[in-house]
Amino acid sequence: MNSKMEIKKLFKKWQVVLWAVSVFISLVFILNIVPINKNKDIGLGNGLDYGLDFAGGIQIQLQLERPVDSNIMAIEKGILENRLNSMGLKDIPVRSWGDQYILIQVAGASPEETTEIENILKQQARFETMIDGALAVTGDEISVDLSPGGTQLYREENGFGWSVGVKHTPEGACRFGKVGDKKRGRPVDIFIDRPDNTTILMDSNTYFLLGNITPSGEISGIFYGDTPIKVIENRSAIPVVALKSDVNSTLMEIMDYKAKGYTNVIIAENDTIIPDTIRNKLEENGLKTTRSSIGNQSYSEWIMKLTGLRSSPKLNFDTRGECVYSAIITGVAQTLDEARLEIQRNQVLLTSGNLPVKATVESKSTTPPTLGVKFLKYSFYIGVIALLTIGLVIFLRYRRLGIAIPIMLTDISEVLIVLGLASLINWNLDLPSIAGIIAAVGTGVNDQIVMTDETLRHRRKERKEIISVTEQIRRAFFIIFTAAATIIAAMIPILGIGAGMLKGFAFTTIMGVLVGIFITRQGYAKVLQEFLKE
Amino acid sequence: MFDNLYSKLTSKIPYKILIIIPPIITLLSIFIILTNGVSFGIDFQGGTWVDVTLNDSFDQGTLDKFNNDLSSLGLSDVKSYTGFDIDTKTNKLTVVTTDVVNESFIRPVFSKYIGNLSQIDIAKVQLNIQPTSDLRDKLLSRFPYMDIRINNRTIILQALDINEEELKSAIEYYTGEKPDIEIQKKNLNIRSVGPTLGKTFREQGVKALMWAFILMSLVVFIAFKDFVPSIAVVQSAICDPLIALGGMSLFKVPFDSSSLGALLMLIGYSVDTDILLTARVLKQKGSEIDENINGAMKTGLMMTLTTLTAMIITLLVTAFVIQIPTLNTIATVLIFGLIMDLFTTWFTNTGLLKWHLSRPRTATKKRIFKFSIFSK
Repeated sequence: MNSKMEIKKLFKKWQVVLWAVSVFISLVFILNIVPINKNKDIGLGNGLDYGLDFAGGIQIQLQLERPVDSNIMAIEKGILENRLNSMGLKDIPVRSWGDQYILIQVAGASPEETTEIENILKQQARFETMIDGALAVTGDEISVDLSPGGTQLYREENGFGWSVGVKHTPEGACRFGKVGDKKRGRPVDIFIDRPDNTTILMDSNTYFLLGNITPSGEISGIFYGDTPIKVIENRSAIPVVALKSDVNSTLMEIMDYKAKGYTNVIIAENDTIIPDTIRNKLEENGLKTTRSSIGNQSYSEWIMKLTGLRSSPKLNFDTRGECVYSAIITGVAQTLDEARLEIQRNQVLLTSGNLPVKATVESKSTTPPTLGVKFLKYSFYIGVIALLTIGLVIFLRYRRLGIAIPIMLTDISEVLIVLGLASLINWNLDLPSIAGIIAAVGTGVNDQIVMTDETLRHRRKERKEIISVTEQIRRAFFIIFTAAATIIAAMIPILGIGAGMLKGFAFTTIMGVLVGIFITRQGYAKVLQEFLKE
Repeated sequence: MFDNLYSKLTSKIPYKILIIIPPIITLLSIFIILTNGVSFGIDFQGGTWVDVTLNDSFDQGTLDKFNNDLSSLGLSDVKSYTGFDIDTKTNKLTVVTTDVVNESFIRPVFSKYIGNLSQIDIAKVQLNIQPTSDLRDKLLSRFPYMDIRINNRTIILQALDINEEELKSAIEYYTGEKPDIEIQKKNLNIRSVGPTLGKTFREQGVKALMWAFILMSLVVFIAFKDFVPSIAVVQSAICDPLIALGGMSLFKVPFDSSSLGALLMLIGYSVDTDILLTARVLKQKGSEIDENINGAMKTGLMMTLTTLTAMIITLLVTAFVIQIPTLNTIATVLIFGLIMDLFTTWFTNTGLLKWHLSRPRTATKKRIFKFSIFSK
């Protein structure tokens, strides 16, 4: 009866209410009751995001040949991002750190996709510009002035104009001039990694359809009145084989191409239309196959992915067969920011074939998901054991469950609130983050011992001076605040090391300490005051 | 427990002698670090780490032969050891070298002793009836990170991890058959770090630590507005990790990301007891210095003891019950560091404060509590 009254009284204090509400809200997030992670059900830990350490995946670090400034770094990063994301995989984060490193993390990818990603990172991009299927300029024949002086931004009537200047080597300049003869108004097709020695296999119905439509109104405007088949076969110079009802004759046709060096086949249909049995037959005949069907993509998106076509600016003059040593690519954007973005996008595109600074794979690690789950599970058990140990030690010291239990509850609530916050801001939990939580809980226990001792000491009248419980707790708070500020001061510089390799540690420690001083410690103080009053 | 401990202690040994013990240990540690060196993990030094699951355990003779073959590849500083993983009940072979090598370079040697090596799980399913053409899409929607090949009635699936139970139930559900599933589990995990990467990381780490110490001193100085106590707190935060590092050097605990984490945690715990001590001694007037120190020590020892006990339990559990090297390293480093923290805090820091306060002063500054915005 008496304790019930006490608890009722406790819940009238705002500190205790805040504490309870924070724990409740955190649980709602951690359990994914408010669907933070939409693809998961309600369950313990489902509202949290797990980093590579726990979710599994591949991490690759690239090293640039020499340190670069932030401008060049942004372009290097952009080139990789561009090439990786054009594979159609979900967003692959590419992060730069220091002035020489780039970190790529792939959380979910199949083994084949992983190999493809590695190949992209290892190889230089193949950059080509073509005019109606004839090669104009290659990656090492074009250079872009990456300094601010190499670009222009100016006000236009309906927005902001931008331009990026490029220079051609003599060889490239004259080839460009030759293939651009009488091509005014035609597109200059810019390709990255245009499939080499490759034929595209599609169903004859699809072939017929694509050969007879001219998509219009598509945003990227790559078609210039051409049919998709013309863009693939003529402008991209990739042969297309239509699958006839007689599979063997189709196979013969592909083998004829193989004899000419076309050893790769892209199957441009899903396996309902062209089944894996055909794919396997091709592989048995020594061809390398990949599959890339239209899916939900628009025609232009799909064609661009199939061919590696990235952009098709219009040729605004007739080269008359003369060498073109420099050219300017221009455009208009609605806002200044967009215009800047366009400039960077074009710089990235145009330097893709010739990275400003070469990159090599410096480190690679694979974490199988099962390993991470195992680790998480056992860490949890050990956490529980450690917590019980702490409770026991505290009970042995103070001989009061009224102190040991609130301390343990405070610790648990602190972990929950930090995890709740992590869930809310979609923080990726990794190993260092967990270590940070342990560190914060450890200092939390320390703080509570300070508060308990500070309060008990005065009650035993060890001091002549008579002060109230509130005053004692206020003194304890001075210690707690100073210790917290010192730890936060130590953690701030750690945030920036590497590509944020210890960011998780510093972040969760700071979070834990802040949650401690502003929420849980405040609540614990009130509980202590109530319990120790009599 | 722990009553009047400081008074008892200083009645036997003069406090000024106590002050110099931890700095001596620190200097000794620096000496050990300089002569013995710290063995960096591959995160910081660069190298390759290969983990292989064995079907049968290696006897010493085989291991020696295997090591010989590895060194004949010209790898430097090769260490290989075998162990038993309680969880999967399998034998493991771990090889660490400071050279960065790729898989194809070392594969022949490994294959010679271990046989077929795979970094991924591969499953083979043999159906009785030709599956419907949408089976692949259905399977993919369930297992998005899998490569699936269907050749007539055979399905080959590849992924980083394949859960046999899950796959079985999915196949049974979609095909209505109960086929045999043959899974070849991955038995190889390889990780490599380039040497310059570790170097950059190390350099950045040292710079960050410098800043951390500067900011910490600043905070402590603002809180106590007194020079000597601030230095006393920071010396402890510097000495503890240094001594712990010396211990790591002595006992050959590798310096990797987990031990770095432990060293950072140590700074936090070290600061806790130091601030407690300084606040109690500086901010409480009307009582004797020793009395205040005794009180602070009682609380502070309790704080350290709690963490220490939790870490000892963690160490025991991770060493004998469930092997988690990361937590094991963290616990080892923290136990060593926390024990040493007792000395840096209660010998040096306390002694410095006592010396500072017992000096004759020209003017006494008034210190006021003004840190109470959150409690009524």
